[in-house]
Amino acid sequence: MNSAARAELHRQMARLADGDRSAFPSVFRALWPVLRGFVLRQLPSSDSEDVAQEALLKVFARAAEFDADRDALTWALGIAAFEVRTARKRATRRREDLGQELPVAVSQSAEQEIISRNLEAAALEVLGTLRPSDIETLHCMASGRSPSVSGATFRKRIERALRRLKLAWRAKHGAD
Amino acid sequence: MELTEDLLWRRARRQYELGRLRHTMQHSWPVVPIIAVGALYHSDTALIASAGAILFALATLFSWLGQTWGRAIFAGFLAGAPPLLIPRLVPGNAFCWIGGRCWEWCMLLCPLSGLIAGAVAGVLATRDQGRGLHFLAAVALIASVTGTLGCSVAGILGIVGMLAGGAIGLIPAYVRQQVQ
Repeated sequence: MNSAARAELHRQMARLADGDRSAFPSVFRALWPVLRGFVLRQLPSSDSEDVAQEALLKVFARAAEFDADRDALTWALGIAAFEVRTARKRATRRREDLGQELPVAVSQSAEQEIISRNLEAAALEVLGTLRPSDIETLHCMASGRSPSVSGATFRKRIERALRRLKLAWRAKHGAD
Repeated sequence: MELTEDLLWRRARRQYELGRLRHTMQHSWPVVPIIAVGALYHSDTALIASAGAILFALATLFSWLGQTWGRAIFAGFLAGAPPLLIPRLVPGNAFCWIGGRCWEWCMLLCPLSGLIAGAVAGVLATRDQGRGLHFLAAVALIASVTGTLGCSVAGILGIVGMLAGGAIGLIPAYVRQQVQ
């Protein structure tokens, strides 16, 4: 999603949060492919559609709570990340390893791809345990967007968010 | 689950409306202390209960509708505060003589506080020109039901007096809206 589309989504989401029902179609059309793609990258295709739909419904159920001071896409992806985490936990509880769908014989490059995908999924899972403000700070840092706060405050926030991320990673995976 | 896009659309819409309904508590909670103030001195439980139920229903409806309607809720509570509180500031046995008749002070304070409420609602409505006449109507509605809970201490006559005072207080704002 480019920055213009992102800004437009934010504007429409703010209108929807205010109760303007005419913004619903544009928010739906903008958000559904993004959430679907995001979840598809995290989960096997057999589960991703269900989880993406669940995430979308959660986003709309909480649309009235949306704070226009926050970025709409980051907020929606935060909800989707939480749904992904819940789906993984559910799967773990049922002793269903969602990662078992990997092909048996894989080439070196495919193996590399799987490792990096798993690493990315693990990082996102840990990211999902952080506070929304931390996620937003890290997202802001990664995307290189200019923060809404002063440079010193932003640096402090990054430092805190990274520290919490490190702690969460250690708690989850037991290593740095 | 695997819904078609059309079904997903409809479910998302329903979730949105239900979410808004859950969110109305954020706006309708002041109804509880308002009812408590109304019930503090007065014995007419049926009147307090029905006015309280109407106020809760209005706050919920306006909050669910959102936009201008939603913004009218707190403005309405604010405008309704004078008739809710002022008539209760005088002792119940305080009287005065006007035109050879004995009047209870709380009875006289109802039209006066209604006038203040109408003026406050008018000021709040004209502060933001873009909100229009339905904002004024919504504020006036919430304020009059809030005021009814306060002026119930003076009976039906007090409520009627408060409403009349409120209508007079609203006239300048109404005229201004019409001119614009």
